[in-house]
Amino acid sequence: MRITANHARNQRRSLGRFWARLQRMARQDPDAVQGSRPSGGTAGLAETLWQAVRRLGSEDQEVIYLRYFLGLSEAEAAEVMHVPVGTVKSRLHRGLDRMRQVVARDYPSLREALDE
Amino acid sequence: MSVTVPPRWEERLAVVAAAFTYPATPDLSARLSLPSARVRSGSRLAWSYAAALLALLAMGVLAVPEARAGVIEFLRFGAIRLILGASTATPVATRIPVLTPTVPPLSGRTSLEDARTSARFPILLPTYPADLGPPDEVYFQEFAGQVVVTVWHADGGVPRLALYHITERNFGLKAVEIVEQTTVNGLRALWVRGPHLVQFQDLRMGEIQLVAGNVLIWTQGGVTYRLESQVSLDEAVRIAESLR
Repeated sequence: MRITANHARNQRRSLGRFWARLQRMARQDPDAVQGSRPSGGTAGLAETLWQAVRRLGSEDQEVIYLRYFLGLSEAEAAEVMHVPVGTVKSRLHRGLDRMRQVVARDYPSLREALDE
Repeated sequence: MSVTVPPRWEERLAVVAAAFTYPATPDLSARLSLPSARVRSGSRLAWSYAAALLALLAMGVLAVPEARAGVIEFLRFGAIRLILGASTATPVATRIPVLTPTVPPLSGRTSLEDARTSARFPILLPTYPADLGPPDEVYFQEFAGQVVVTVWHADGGVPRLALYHITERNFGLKAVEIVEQTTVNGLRALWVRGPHLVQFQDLRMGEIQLVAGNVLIWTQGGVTYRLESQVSLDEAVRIAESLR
């Protein structure tokens, strides 16, 4: 139990550091965050991610969009897609797999941000 | 060739995706006459399901036929997720008869000074109305992102104003019936009217509360703000634009 709790805490800290770094990038380019025109920082990375998603097939686009861009839970995504939750899980697994290959091959700045 | 996706990579992807800036919504009011679409003066345009539909169409999402029926019910704005008009088992309109800002069901009550020490962003507070003064209650939450909630009381201890500062997608608004587009400091903002559900992410995941309505949502400096009050839209925008 303690190992699990420590792991969860470390995960939160890691994500917190990642988020803080994105925020620092955003502060260096506040216009990008405030939505006028993504040109760098957090919004720039997000725009790059969106371009990478558009390179995927429609089934991968759909599940990644619902899960990560709209922030739906797996159950909510299943409701929207009219498929069982298990299907969402397997499509996510395959979609992320292909997504990572696209990012690794064609989007070095995004790969650096996600891999570090 | 298949590659293994580490869990941390997936979590970081989610953080980056949450920062995605959606394309500007086209002016729908001239072309659509839906029941919930109504025009406000100046640049304030009414929103409805159709707005979400067209925004998603602009992104090509609805090219996937299976998603079409459900996707239009969801909308993201900053760190807040709106589920438009989602059906609920209980009629929310009859359960909360008066507008009273929600006292957050959050743990983490603290002082303004401690929250300012812990937060990775400046905690801006309204300087309007002039008699508002410092908040009566302050909450600080930290998971993947941070949330600060500041609450002001009216006479008698009734909540008068609740301002949420959100840096991560910890909140979902459900069963939202009326959403209008407005601006705060010249940037796009949303005005949510009517009773709806707010889903808080807390130690007890998925806590849901009924809210009577009138919520202004806008983003500024990487923070998403959610202002819940009893005031009109114009007054709420004035409060939002007074943050210092």
